[in-house]
Amino acid sequence: MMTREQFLNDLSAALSGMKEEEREGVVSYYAEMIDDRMEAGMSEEAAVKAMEPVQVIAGRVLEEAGMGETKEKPKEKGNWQEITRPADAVQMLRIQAENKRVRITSDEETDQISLRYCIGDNDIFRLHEDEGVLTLEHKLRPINSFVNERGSDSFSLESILSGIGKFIAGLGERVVNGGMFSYEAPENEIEITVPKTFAARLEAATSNARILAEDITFAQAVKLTTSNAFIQAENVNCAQQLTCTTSNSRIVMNDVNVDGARLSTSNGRITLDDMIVRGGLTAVNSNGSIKISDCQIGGALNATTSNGAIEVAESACPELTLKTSNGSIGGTLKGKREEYTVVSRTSNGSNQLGSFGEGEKKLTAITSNASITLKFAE
Amino acid sequence: MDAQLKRGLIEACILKLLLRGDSYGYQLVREAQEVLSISESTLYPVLRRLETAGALTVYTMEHNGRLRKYYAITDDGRQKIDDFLSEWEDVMKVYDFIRRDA
Repeated sequence: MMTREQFLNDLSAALSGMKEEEREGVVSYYAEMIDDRMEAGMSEEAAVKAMEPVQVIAGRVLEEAGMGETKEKPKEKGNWQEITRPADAVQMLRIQAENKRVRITSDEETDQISLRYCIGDNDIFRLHEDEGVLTLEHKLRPINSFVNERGSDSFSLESILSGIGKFIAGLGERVVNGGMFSYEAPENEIEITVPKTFAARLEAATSNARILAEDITFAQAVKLTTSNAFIQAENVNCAQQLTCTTSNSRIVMNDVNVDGARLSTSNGRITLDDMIVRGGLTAVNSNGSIKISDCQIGGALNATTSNGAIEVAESACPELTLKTSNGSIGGTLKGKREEYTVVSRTSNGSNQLGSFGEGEKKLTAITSNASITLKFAE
Repeated sequence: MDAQLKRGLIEACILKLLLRGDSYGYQLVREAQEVLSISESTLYPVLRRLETAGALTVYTMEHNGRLRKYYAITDDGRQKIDDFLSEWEDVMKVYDFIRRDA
């Protein structure tokens, strides 16, 4: 038989990794448990036997002790990861995600690239590093493998209760995030922080979630791709080409200075404000408008859409091709009428612009079933 | 049962038991076992957590020639019970919804 003393000695030994004070707390707790049982009439042997095996107790206590420490320092919910690399060791940064929002921003203080994301139950993240190419790949777990993993207990009481637990936790979170339906869960975002001037190429692709780029100077080409969600750049410089591709949503550029740009969406709008493009700018849309205001374009501007208007306001460009259908073309161009060679036509709509001139700058405006009212600021 | 959920339930049960009056380990285990399955090793971290959170205080008193630890609920502990009950009103709504015949 095991005596009370043996049991307590074994327990103390099994907890040798703990701080002395905490270990004594546990041992005296179990001493009291045995003493109280003996006082209630049990034999020493029975009272010791009523305890769980020492190893079981030690395992649980040690596990809980680890948890107790993180409890005191409340950390963010979810399994957050942050990966940092010296920026000068990366020539290209590539993000390939599914249904995750992407936000790219800079920090003047840092010379590191930081990738921060939350690994949810359905997320699979992989990081590849190969000769200066840093790739973060994210995939959603396929639905059937998720079901398989959970197996037959998908609808067990346990999994439902666990779901309720998460539901409650979620309630709190959503309140913090400002309302039940605001859907501002940062867990759904990959946050990229780079130095103020980012020397590497960037290619970020996701789906069904927006991409934001703010306050950065890119020394190399940038490619942003998503679907069914918007792409927005604000206070962004790019010494090379900027390419943005999405669908069923808008592309918005504000205070953006690039060497060249190709912007393409559908069923959304393209809004370019206060943009400087040293080379050419191509904007392609369908079933949506294109609005270009306060922009200076050094090369050719090609704006093509359908079933939407094209508006150019207070902008300058030596070679404009504006094509739409079932939408008007209007606004004001900087420069004098004589500077341009203009070709314009519409059908079933008034054309106040006409075709004329032999100037160096070229303007082509074509639509149908709508008017052309483009003017020169003079 | 989900570990997180069970932990919350045990904490609330222990606080409720302390609402009846100060108590000690063995008595808490026995009384709590009437409602849910709990062992000494589950109770210990719960007591520690509640103490750290300020939901209960611990004092030592002599009993039959030996020392025994007693646990007493605090105002924060009472508040935790209220929080638990109002939180579970929401849960019960979901429970009723799931249980209801289609």
